Amino acid sequence: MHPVARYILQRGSLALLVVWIGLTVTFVVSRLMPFNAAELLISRLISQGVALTGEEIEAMKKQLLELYGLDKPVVEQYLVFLRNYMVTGEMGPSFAFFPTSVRDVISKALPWSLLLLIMASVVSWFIGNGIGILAALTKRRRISNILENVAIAFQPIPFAVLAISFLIFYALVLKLPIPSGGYMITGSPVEMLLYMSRRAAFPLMILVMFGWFGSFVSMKAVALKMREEDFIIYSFLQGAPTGSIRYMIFRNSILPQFTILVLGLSRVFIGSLLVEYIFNYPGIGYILQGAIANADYNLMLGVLFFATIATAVATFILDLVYPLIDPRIRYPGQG
Amino acid sequence: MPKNILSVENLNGGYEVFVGRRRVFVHAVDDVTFSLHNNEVLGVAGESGCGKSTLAKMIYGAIIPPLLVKGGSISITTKGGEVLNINKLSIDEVRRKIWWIEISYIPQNSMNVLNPLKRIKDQFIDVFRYHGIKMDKTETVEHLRDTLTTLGLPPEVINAYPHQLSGGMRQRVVIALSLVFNPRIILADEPTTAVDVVTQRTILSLLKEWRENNKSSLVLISHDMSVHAYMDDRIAIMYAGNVVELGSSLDIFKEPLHPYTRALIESLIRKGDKSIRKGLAGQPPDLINPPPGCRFHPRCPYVMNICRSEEPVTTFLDNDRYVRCWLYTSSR
Amino acid sequence: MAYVYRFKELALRPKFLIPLTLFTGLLVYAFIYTATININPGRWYYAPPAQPPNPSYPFGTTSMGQDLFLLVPMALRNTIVISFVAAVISVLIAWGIGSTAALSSTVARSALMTLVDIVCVLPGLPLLMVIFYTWRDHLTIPLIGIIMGLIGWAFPARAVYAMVSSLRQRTFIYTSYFSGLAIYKIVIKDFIPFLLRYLMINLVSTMTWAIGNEVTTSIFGAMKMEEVTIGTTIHWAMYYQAILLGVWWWLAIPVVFLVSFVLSLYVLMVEIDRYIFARARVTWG
Repeated sequence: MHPVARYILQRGSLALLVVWIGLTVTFVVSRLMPFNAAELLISRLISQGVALTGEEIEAMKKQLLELYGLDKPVVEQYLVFLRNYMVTGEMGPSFAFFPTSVRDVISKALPWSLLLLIMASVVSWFIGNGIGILAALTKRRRISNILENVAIAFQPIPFAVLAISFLIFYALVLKLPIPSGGYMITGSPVEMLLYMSRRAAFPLMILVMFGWFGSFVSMKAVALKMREEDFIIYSFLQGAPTGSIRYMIFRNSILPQFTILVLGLSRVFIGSLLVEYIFNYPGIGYILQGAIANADYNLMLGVLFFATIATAVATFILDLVYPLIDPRIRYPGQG
Repeated sequence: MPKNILSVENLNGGYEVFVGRRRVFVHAVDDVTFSLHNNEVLGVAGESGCGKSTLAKMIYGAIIPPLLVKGGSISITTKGGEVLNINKLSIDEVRRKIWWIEISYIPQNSMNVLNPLKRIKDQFIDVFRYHGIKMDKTETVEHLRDTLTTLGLPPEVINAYPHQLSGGMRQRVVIALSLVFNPRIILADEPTTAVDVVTQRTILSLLKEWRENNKSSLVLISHDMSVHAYMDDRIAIMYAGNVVELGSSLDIFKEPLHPYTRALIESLIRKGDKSIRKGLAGQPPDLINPPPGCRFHPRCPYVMNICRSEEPVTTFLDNDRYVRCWLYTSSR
Repeated sequence: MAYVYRFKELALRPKFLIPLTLFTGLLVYAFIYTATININPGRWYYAPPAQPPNPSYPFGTTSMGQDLFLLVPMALRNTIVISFVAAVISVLIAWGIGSTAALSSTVARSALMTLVDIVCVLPGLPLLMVIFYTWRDHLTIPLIGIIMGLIGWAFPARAVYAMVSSLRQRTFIYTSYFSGLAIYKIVIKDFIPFLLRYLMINLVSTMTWAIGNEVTTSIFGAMKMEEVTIGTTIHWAMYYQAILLGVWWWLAIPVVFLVSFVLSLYVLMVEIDRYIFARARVTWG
């Protein structure tokens, strides 16, 4: 088999494995709840569904019972669960956004979250690496050291704390309004994308502002080490001009950084959930908050499942880029 | 009378380093004078830490702090017949005019000096680009195929990445790279230190053959006297920053004059000889505080009083043979 | 090789002493001072509401009439306990899995590392939120830490794996072995410094990770909200519109304390690393 095909197959099956394990975890959590979820949901359905006719309530009740299938053996429950989530996409009604179904609520929010997640990790990765390589190559040691100290000081602080501090600063010191709205926007895909990008700019800015430190610090370290590598010194002695050498250092240092981008996705995801909620961006984080505030277990489970899918897919997309930048995957050799 | 293409006169230099807060000077090259003839192999021999590699860096003009040149001159006659003083040029001028065009360089661990992310042919094209030389891509690749074939490499190599080649193949590619512009001088700094004896022999033979065909000169730096015996026309023996003896390799191997040279040659294994090899006791001196007088005197079996206080002067035995030792001064 | 620990130099550095003082001060405030409080600082209206910092309430009070001078150390204590328990649990798992993977055969190794990769990719935070929210009535502070520890071991496990497998191939260990050093001496002199260093780094980084998760889940409200932690304090401050009403100290004071704790812990780690473990760095292959 072609090495690239093997690589893609390998990464793809890993992504599938991630999704399957995520599903199983979701199932286990849903069955281990310390109360009978189906009955709780039905009682809430009845209290919420005042506007519904008796028939509609009965239909929903039946659907919920079927969804949880608590009277059947666990293995069957598991298979039904897998079928519902993977094949039919049937995850029951949402109470926080009643009477919309969980599937519809999440599929509306998911593109927003994916856009923000991918943009935030990619943009802060580029900015961090860009500044990192400049700091490693510059002759102005003082500026690069100050930058590094700032980054090292910010790096250990949890993102949540940074975001809250920024919120205090933004709302109390700058006295600026927080943008909101945009959830139920419809239009052509291009219009949607334009609108979403505009709407994503503000949360993106916050995520990037506090997200570039990690790749900056490691890029600087890698590039400083790369400068001493034999092949860099050799090309210097071949008479390579400074520009070419700098590009070569950059090109070769960026490779190990790529792994950081892929592995960091789930950490960026935490940040983006929080930013979505604090700054009213209509993504998964926003929905999750609504689900928690309304004790909407169906929606929580759906979010858990889709969060897994989102990170698995984003990781897979980034994995696909890797062979393009590293020939050692395309053409494995004797080492 | 052979023509000189490189001459080094009274070259002095070393490294400025900090030991704690104190600035110290490591005097790695001390008053070195020699010249390189057209179409010859000049070997530079000596223990590690005697200044061989520093001398190589200075000749190559890679004078980057903490390396400093304190005095003396290195002049080179270019292909166009111009005489350039390398240590008077800026590093950028050296880069554009000298490196790879007049002198090229084969580094110590040549199996690991290729950029892992570039195809072999692109690494060749890059060298053209570095020197602003216009070339036709397809024609160059054709030419490359031929060059690589003469070096015993399959022509597909040009499309390979370094990690797809074996260590010996990579080394040949590096040699081919250094020959791209047909420079008149090649500087090889321990080119075969990290390889097994068989590969070593192949590589040295390749270099030898190429040099003979092209009538270029090779400066070969190695601590290994057997390499010198195989390759050199002339040898310079270095000890603690000084060239202590210089002469044709035939003369030096037949009749070593300086006690240090003698010790080096005695350490070689000879056919039929069953005696146990003698090593030289002691360590090379500290270049920060070299011993007074002759730097070799603490280890010299023939040490005299004068050696402990005064530096020996250069004694020419004929036009192309000199030694720096008091043993030979007194006789004249 | 005799391993050199530079304790004395370390102890005299202001860059070490200042964070050490801050860190100890915070610990005393969070653990010893709270033991002397005889009311539950999480209760409502035992103090006048929404007082800005003043002589009798140095950190001000919340809109719910809680004294932040009593509330914040309690919150800090609980957050520290959660993160410490989480760090201990996850470091134990990480060391178990990481070193087993590094020392076992190819098959077991690739299976374990695939598992680690998967757990790295799985989004732990939404899972934590769902678990905490559904079991909020049964949670205790140490239990929160234990659950976090069970989820957050993947990243430290990767680091441990890389460290142990690189340590395995280091030549100085063979040198010690072939020069006849007893096995237990090799362990003490050649392994322990590396292990201690990574243990310290793992502990600190997982603690900051757990603190971040505690704060994030609490802000979302998916936590046992009656427990006083830094996260729940921030949550209630946002819930009661502290920013809109200008009660900024309700948010700012817990944030300041948390940041000082995390930063002093981190700087201590960096300084100890520089002076005690400087020679125990593994260069990554």
